[in-house]
Amino acid sequence: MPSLKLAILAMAVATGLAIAAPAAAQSLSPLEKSGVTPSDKKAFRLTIGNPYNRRMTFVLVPLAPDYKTPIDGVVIRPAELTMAPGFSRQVIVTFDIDHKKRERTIALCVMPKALDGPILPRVCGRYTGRMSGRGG
Amino acid sequence: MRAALNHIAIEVLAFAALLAPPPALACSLNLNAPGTLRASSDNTVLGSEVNGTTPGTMTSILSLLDGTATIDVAAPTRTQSPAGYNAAAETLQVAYNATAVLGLFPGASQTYTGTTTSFHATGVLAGLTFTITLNNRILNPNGFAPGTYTTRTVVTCHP
Repeated sequence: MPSLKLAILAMAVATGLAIAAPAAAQSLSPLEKSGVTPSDKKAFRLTIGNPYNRRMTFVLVPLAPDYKTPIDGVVIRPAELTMAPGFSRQVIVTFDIDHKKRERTIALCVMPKALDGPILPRVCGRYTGRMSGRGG
Repeated sequence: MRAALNHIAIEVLAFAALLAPPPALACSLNLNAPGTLRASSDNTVLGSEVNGTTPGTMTSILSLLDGTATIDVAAPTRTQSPAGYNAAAETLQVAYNATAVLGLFPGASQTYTGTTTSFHATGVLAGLTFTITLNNRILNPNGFAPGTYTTRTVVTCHP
C-alpha cells in the first residue's frame, strides 16, 4: 500500500515541521522554565533570535519578576550579542539562590541595543531555580 | 492483516507525536515603524494622530502550543524636550490596536491612556502572528516650546 505509506510519511513530515517551525525567528525561547539544582546556583540555556531583516545587537538584562527592578547575582554569557537577520544563538544565564529561601525566580529581558525610537520592544522570560534536598 | 498493521503504525505515529515535547512558549517582537509626533494647530497636542496618522507598528510572533503570553504596553515617558519647555501640566498617553495576521486571536484595543495596560494572546495548537499599532501623544495646555520632543513606550511580551 504505497499510498498509505506516503500518507504516513507526509504525516510524519508535517508533525516534524509543526514541532520544529517555531524555533525560527524567535526573540526569546523558552519564555518560562524552572528546574532543580543541587547547589546554590542554577543555570538555564536560552535561545535568542534576531527576527529583524538586518544585523542587530541585543542586550540581555536581568530583572526581578516584576520586569522592572534590576537585580544582582545573575551572570549572562554573553550579555550582549550581535546576530545576522534570522539567526539565533544560545546564551547561558546563571543565578545565585539564597540558601535560606532555597528558591529564586528571575526575569530576563531581551531588547535591541541601538533602537533609540519611541517604541522599545522587549521580550522577557521568567526562570525559577529550586535547591534540591531538605531545607534548612 | 496488512490493514491491521497499517492501523497500528498510524496509532504508533500518533502516539509518538503526542509524546513529543511541544515547543516551549516563545515570543518575538519586531518593530516595523517607530511612529512620528506632530503638533496640533493650537500647539497643545503633540501626537502621531495629529495632522495625519503616523503610528508606530510592531509584529509579534508567538509559538503557543501550550501557554498564554501577555503583552504589556507601558505608559509613555518623555525622553527629550527643548530647554524652554514647561512640562508642569503635561499628560502623556498611548493608544493601541492589535489585530491578528495569522492564527486565532480576538484582537485587543485600548483608547488613549496614561497607565500601563495589558492584553493576553493565546494560541490553539498553532502559532499566532499579530500586529500592534501604537499612537502616542503629549497633551499640554501650556503649549510646546520650539524644539525636538520624543517619547518612549516600552512594549513587553512575557509569560
